[in-house]
Amino acid sequence: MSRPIDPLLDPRRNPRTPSGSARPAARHSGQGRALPPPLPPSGATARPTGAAGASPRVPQRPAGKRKGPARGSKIASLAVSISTTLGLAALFAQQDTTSAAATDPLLDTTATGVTPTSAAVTAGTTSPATVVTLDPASTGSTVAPTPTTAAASGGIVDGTYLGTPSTNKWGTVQVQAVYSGGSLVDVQILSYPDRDRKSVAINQRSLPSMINDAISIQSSDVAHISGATYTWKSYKVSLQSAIDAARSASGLA
Amino acid sequence: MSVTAGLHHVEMVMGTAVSIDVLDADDPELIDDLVRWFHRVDAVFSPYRADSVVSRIGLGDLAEAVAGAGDMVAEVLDVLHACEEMKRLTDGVFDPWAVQAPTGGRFDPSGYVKGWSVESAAARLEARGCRRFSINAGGDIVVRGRGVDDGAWRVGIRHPHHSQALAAVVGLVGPLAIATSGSYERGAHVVDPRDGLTANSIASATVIGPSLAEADAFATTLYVMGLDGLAWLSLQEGYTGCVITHDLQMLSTDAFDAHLVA
Amino acid sequence: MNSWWWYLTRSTGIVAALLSVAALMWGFYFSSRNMGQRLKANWWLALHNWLGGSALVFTALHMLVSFLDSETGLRLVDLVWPNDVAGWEIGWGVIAFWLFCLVVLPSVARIRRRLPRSLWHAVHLLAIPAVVLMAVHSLQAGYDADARAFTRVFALVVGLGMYPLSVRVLSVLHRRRTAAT
Repeated sequence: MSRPIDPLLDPRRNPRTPSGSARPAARHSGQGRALPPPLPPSGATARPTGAAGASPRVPQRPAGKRKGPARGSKIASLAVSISTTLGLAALFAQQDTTSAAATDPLLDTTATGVTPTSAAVTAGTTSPATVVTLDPASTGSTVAPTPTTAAASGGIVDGTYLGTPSTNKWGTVQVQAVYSGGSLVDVQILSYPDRDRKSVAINQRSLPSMINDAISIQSSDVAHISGATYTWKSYKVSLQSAIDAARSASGLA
Repeated sequence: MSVTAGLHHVEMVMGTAVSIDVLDADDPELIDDLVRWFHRVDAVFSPYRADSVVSRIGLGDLAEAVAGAGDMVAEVLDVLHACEEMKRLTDGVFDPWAVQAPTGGRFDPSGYVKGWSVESAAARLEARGCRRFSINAGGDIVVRGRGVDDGAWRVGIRHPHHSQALAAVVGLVGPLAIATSGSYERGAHVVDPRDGLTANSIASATVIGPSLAEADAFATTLYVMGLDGLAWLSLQEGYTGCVITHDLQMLSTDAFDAHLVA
Repeated sequence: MNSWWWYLTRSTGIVAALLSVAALMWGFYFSSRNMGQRLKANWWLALHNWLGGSALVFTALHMLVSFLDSETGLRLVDLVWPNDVAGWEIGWGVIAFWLFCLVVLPSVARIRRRLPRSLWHAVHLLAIPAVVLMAVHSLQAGYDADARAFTRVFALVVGLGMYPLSVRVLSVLHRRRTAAT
């Protein structure tokens, strides 16, 4: 304790470095173009009093800014980016859920005023109005078909519902569910195809997965391609435009 | 591609590109008439335009909807009732009231309108004496009569994985329509109205039949139903189809295979 | 959970797009040295670096989430290399991503110091085609690109971006003029 403090280590020497580090420049590396670090005092100018230890040309800066330029803006932009990402995702989720719970405006006369002629036909008829295929694996909160009453809450409308046929070791079975008063009251197992569904012969063939093995447009000389609807933006890069262009170029108006 | 006489025109309308091929006529006025028709349909039925009749119906502004329909009021009601009938025929799978329209309303019949407008356009051409033509609206096609070189109209069914290749080629002699529904163009956008989830069990579904409006709705329905849908489709008189699974198995009925040429 | 991957794919794509455009605008503004007294050069540069790095991170997130979403049908190779199966709508985005990597990674201080400045600067200008390709990708593949809100925001951003772009172009022209005298 009685030993003299090495002048270089004297904390009073550099008033802008409260931690007493003799190399404050180390904290600025990698932050882009920061201010030049204060010059460490050379041995010749060292003074035990430690007054104005660094070059007087470098202006004083408050301790907060020391952490790097634009730190506040960086944090703000990161916060905005993350919250926008989550917010937009939540918005998209909400759009999808509202569409699934929509009621039928043709039957909702207060909303649109369109003459509900078809509703007049089905209203009042008791179940089963129509038979609907449901996936038996679904959790049951599905929208009912041609509602006999406007299913505003999305609950299951009274009626008899058939599940899709599923095959197991006893053959192919279908489940029939009966709803009344909004809840399931009866479940029956039916065998398929006794429920008036045609058995259909299905032919199966494998398509080549490599483009070189698939049928090429050029060799097949097709006039049109039937595919999932392209928007006018993807039309330009689609094959149909190439065909149309070829047909235009080869002499048609 | 062999060179033929006749009219050929591509029009960007109804959110897609409509290609018109008329083999047995030369009067460009025929094309102009169709173009006018499609633009009127777009103005009235577009789900992307907030001022269209359909958007107004979806948002509940019925008075403005009727005012905006002008002389197309009868057509609008026809479409409404036809959509209701479609919804019944497809057991609720095709349901224009279950989808959120781009303008925020809850009514988007564009799946039906496109086919209906093309069938109407075909009727207009037939009324003017054309017997051999085809109209392709974004991959949904109607044909009348025979195609080039008096053979069948050759239509390729797009390969689900390769936009530059085909899964199959069918030959169609009119009056027939073909429509395909799948997810590879616009991603997962087909929603099963019964549970609100996107349908994705198969890669694509194609339907051939007498009317494009119904073929279109049935193709969407077949796509949502998946493999089970083929049995359902066979119950619809006059319509036949095929589905292609994600692992490239093409399943079809005998009636569909009768159209295959490659 | 499946649907959430889809929502996040779209939202991370939108945010990555906005960040990259902001980084580009900041870059134009900074490089024109014409930003007035109030905000210092190092503020602009630090924020430009930050925005560029965030844009790259959010782009990588966007690619990862789209891959994890089983319904998009994207395979790993589709994220890395434009190909016919995924189509050019995805391909432009993949190319834009690689260009962004070329723009951001050599700008890390340690690497930048070892490059001759003119080379580094020439590569850094690839940010411009990167943003253009990203815009093409968002219009072609973007599920939300049909929404009116999207087209309006797109127009607004392009309009706002004209100012820093013209500042930059004018400063380059000015420098050439003064150098020529």
